[in-house]
Amino acid sequence: MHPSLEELLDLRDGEGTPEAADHVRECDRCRREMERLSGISRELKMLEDSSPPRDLWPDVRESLQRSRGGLLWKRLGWGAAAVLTLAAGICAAVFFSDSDGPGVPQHTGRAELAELPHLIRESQRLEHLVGLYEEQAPFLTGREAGVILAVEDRIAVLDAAIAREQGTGSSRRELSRLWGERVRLLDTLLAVHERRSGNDGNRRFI
Amino acid sequence: MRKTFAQAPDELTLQRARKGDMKALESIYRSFDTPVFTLGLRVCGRVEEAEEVLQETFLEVGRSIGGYRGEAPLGAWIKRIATSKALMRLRKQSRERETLVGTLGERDVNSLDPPAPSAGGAARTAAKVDLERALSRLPETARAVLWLHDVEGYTHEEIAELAGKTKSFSKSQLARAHARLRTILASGEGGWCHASES
Repeated sequence: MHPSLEELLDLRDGEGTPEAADHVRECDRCRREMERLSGISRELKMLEDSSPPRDLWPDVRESLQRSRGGLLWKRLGWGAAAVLTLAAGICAAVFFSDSDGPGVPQHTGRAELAELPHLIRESQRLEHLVGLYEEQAPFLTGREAGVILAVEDRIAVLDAAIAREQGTGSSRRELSRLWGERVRLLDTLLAVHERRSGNDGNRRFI
Repeated sequence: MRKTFAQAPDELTLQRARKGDMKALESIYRSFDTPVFTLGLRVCGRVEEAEEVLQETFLEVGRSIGGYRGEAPLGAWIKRIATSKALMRLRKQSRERETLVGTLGERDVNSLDPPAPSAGGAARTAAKVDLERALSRLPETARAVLWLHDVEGYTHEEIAELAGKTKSFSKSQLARAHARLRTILASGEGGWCHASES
């Protein structure tokens, strides 16, 4: 008796019974049917793919952004607060350094006060350059990606520390140290991008 | 290059997507939109439904990728989400169809079926067109099981789990699909007989 279609399909998929396998070995008709079933499977896999008739990404993005709205706003709120506090700190530093008044802490000299805006500008410049590299060559090896992510994570931790220090009104010296560390990390990040793009040209702009 | 579920985005894109970076998510969407849409179309049989599957899949990807730990390749993870969404839509279609059948009768409901997906491309062979048409004429569940098992590579156990059915249900649907395909294709092979079809 011939095996059922279900039994032949099991056999095709490597799950058939020994009895069915023995039968197919002896029966030309069943063997041809097995070959036909395998052929159908192969032909199905060769059918052309269908692309979506329209770009659905904008709809997906909008829905995702809507659903994330609350969380995003919370994060933006913290970021905006950090930037405002930082700006206020810089203004105060510049004001006191110019007036040299009694409000300036004893340990903060003119050089340190002048250094902070410079470090922030340098940090912005390096961040811009890193962004350019990322746009030009977004595809990385796993190792490069690992290094870049490690540095980016440290920058993120540093950013949180900067925002925290600003909030507690800590010394300009400490802020200069943190911003200096941020510049150093961005410099490292830029060096990784330059190395992988084969560009060891002049990146010391200041 | 053909887009498949076997593609792997670079690690940085994946890390950024996990952190909610929209550009990274878009890059993943562009890599997998065609395989997800194709799966949706083959399982559900309608362009509109396949579009819904595509959208729902990437909404789920966008919301859940932060928790994706890479135990399975990203493509396999996305495929599983897409399959689940497609089967959900198929169940919804079946319920709606049952309601329609109750109201209009089977013959009228069949007349509402969309035409077979466009063959597209003059170079496609007649055999492929025939197979595509035959596929579109299969009963919904049988077609879904056939596609998921024979093309996407799911086992009967996996299909049973995804569809909330038993392994033997999946097996019998696959046999039913192949029996119907043979009839529809009417390829003149004739003469073969077997004990039972399903």
